[in-house]
Amino acid sequence: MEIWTPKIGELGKLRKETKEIFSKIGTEKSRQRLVYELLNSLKSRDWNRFKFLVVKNVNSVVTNEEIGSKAKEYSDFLGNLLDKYETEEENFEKIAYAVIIGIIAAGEEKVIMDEGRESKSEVVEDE
Amino acid sequence: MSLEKLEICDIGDVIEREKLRFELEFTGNWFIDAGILGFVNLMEEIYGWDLEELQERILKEPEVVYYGYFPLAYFYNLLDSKKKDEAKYKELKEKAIEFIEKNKSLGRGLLDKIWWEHIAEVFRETWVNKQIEGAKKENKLKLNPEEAKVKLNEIWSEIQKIKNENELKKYLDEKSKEIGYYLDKKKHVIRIPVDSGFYKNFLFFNNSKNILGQLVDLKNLIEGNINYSEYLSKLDKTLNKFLPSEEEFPNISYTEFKVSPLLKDKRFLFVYLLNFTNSFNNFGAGNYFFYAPDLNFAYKINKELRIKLKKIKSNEQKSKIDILKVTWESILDSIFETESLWILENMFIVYYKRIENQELVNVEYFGVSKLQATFILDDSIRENLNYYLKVDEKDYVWLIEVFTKNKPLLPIINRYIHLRLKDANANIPKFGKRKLLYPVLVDAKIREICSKKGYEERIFDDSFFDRFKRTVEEVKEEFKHANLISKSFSNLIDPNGAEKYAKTLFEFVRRSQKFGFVNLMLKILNQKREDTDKIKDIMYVMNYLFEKVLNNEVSWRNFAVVFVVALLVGFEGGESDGDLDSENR
Repeated sequence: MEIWTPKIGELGKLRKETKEIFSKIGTEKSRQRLVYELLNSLKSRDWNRFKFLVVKNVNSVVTNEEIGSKAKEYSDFLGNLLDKYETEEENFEKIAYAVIIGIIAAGEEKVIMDEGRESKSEVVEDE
Repeated sequence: MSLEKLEICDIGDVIEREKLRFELEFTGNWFIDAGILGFVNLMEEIYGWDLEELQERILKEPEVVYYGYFPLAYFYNLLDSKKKDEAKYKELKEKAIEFIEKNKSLGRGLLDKIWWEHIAEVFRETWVNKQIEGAKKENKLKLNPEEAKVKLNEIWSEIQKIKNENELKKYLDEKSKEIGYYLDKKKHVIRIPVDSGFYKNFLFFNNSKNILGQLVDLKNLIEGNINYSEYLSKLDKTLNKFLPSEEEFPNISYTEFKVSPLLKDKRFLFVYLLNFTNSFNNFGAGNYFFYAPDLNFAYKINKELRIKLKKIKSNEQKSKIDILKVTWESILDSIFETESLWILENMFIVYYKRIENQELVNVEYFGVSKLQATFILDDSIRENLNYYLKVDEKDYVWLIEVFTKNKPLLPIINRYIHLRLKDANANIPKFGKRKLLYPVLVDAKIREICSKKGYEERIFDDSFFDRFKRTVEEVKEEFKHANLISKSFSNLIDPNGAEKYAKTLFEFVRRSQKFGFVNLMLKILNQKREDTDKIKDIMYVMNYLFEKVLNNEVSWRNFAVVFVVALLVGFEGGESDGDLDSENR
């Protein structure tokens, strides 16, 4: 029986889009804190908390003129991936870590090429 | 003679000469090739000729070699091993050699002369003593042993002049009465007393054959006369215990191994088949033969193996020695001379313990798979697998041996890392990245290849070997990549904290907790995220982590170990193993 698992192309796309979206969310420092939170939620196997943090941050830019529509597309894409693969615990973790890798990579271009446009919006911390 | 006829004769000669040039070439069939090597070994042992000299002699004077030197060597070799070293027998041998050298013009006629005047002489004492012992056993010795000895010696001299079956019978009848005791009367067997557990009843080994019959057998065997006897018309268990018998395989139309086509290529085929056992090296608990489909290579390795084994004298040492290991050492010493995939992938060691009731006991074959052979042929990879790793308090493991046995390398590297992490001050040889990463990456590649669907079927593809050549290049590229990544990772870690991280990350690898490993790695990378100087290193490491660990089901542990090794070498410092930078350029 073939194992139902996310393809490397799908995860690559997820990482890339996460990077694009999260480059517009928060500052370097706030993203660092978010990554820390996300890694902890995965370590304690708290999937709901992980989803909550990601969705909350993406939602914060849905009304943004520049990336609002892209954020909605991203939400759909992530939601579809989770619907498709979440039945396997391992699949969820793969998807989740691809998201985190995207977030860590976010802002890379900004730091190197576009320093003047930092911190348009803040990363939403857990309440 | 007309010119036309002369030309035809010359062409025939040229063809025959050309065939002789390849007479000792291996055929690819290991039964025959073992025989060829056995023949080479025999001639070297008796006359001290190396392969080159033997080949020259065959080309120059084939009949002198096969009808003169060979029969003498073969029967001389069947003598009791103590006798072979006695001065008396060495003298007899020298005399025979002198005779051959002086009478080369006899060509095939050398066989008769050598048989009656030299081989018979070599076996005189053995035969005389055997007769006396036999008669004593049956209480039929009426003369005292000394008198009997004189009489029997006379008989042995006399029969060398009788060349006819009836005359021989008549003569023996008379002599039996004369000296008054049993003289193999029942069958009138007066023969060269030779015996073989391996060939048992084959032609002249058969006890019912007398000295005249033995000579006829030998003559027909050298000639390759397939009409002479059933023994010479097909290859089966009667000639070689490694082959099946007709009883074992009654469906003979599929299994019968006809000799005639083979004789076209190997004129002296049966000479070689008779020397099969001479290719084996008797040592300690059994008999070993290293086979590779190239005479020069197989000859060299077996010779080295023999020399090495001869040096080991005590039984205690013999019991400890690992033949496979000794053979592999010889192979690796010589491999750079051959560089041929064909040789490597077709080599194996054949082992049998002994022969019991004409059956081989404990036959084993050790081979190297095509995949492993491809890797071993590459200098860099071979060099970085050919070393010993300490894996626990007492034991060392020879990596290349594990590899050739088709066993995974990662667990060995992991045991070594575990040992080093357990006690950084322990007396453990410290290896650098090259020695630790090559085995890990070769192992990863093999896992990847073997996990792909249809791997088994592809072994028989035409493109199989080309793909493997590419695979070797891929591993080398993978090493360069891993080396760069490990450098980037080392740049991110404070040397003081490296040991702690190495231990924790390695624990995740040992427990196969991929996500735990990824989690900690990302925590480390996230901590360094603020440092703008290190962003490139972070991105390199993260991409590697994403591609090689997170998205890799088959060999993620191998690539995770790359990070552990980077930390291990970083905080402990491994022995330098070459200029890594030059390889990365």
